[in-house]
Amino acid sequence: MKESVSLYLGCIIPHRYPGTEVSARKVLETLGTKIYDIPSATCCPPDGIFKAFQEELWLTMAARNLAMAEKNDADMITICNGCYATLSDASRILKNNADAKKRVNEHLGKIGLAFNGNINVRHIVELLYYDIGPDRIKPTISNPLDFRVAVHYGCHLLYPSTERRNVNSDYNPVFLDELLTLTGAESVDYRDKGTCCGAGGGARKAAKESTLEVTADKLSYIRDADVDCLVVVCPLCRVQFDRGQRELAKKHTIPVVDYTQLLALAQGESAKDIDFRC
Amino acid sequence: MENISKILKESGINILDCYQCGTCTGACPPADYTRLNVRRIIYGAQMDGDEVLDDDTLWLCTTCFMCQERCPRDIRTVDAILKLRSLASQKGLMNRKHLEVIKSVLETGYSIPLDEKVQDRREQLGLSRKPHMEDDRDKTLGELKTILQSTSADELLEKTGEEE
Repeated sequence: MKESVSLYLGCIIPHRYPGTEVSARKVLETLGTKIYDIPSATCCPPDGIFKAFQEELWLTMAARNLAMAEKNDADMITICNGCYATLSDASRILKNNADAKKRVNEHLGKIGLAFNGNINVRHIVELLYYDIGPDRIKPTISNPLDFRVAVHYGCHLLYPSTERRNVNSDYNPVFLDELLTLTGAESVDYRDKGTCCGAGGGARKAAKESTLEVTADKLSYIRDADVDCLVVVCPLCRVQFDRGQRELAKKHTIPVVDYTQLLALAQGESAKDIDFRC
Repeated sequence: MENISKILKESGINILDCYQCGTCTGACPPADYTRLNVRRIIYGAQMDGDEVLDDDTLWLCTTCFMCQERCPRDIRTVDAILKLRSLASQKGLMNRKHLEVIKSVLETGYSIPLDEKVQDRREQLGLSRKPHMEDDRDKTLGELKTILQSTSADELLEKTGEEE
């Protein structure tokens, strides 16, 4: 059990979905976890764009964020699959490769920072399921929800499975469905549940129209499952499903919410305080 | 570019192990809708020719890892695509939209802007108007600039920008 965490916000949640920043904070506070902020954090930055440009820049910028979180002496928690991929991959590379660590620390030395490697990077749902655990979450539920929900894990929470050793990243993961069930909601199965939202790797930026074709099919399968909402744990997936619905059909029929919003609601927070719309 | 397969191998990506079975393409979600064909990209890289770096489908990959997860030869196919993108960037062939994101992050610290409307909303929700860098914006952006120069990524960025 982690008693305190460094909360890494990333770009999309604080800049587009501030209600989810609130719900993430409330959920952690309700579970008795102390939150440290990382005030001068920047974009993680995304590997599909930055590692794909120059790996050393990607690794050093990620290391800067990690080095600042190390000052809090608490594990870094991400609320986005993309941030999770970059920061956990960078942390692993720097911990296991002495040459890379030496080079990166030479760059960081010029701004008075150093990567030491004494904290871990966790996704908030990983923290909730594996560290805090369902048994400690259950007693905090005061407002059980009566929703039918489609769960979308997103790719970078689970893959590459060779690196995501901490989570149950086989082809049929259940931990997020179990976390959902704690809120009282029902996880409804649907076709192609494990398929990508379509947006990752910089593809939404580079070729939005073609990414939406993947999304359109996935949305139609979710619609077929007759759910009240779609639950995500990554704000880029959320943008793709959320804005994607308008971009595809000029109409929005499936509410898209973050898991921490659903949990906060079940823990008794008001929908208004966490921007929950469903 | 010489010896693409050798450059990839130095990064632990063994594309010469590929026997062109096509499992990657079969597993690829965008492949059903776009021209992206991972098997063909790997083949192009095996041939060590520059054509693969000119291939604009390199930028259609969503990095979902379905191909890499299923590769019977354990080839790091997604890492290969990211590495090929970086080699393309060295030739000034970076996707223009990706370049915009990089410039935005280096100029503001973030990949998407924070507008007044969201700052108002944040305040209504009891959050600080700005999530980060409230007091030390100039210091943080200066640090990013130092990192950009120290990693020599500034030269690459200049080169990529010139190709406009």
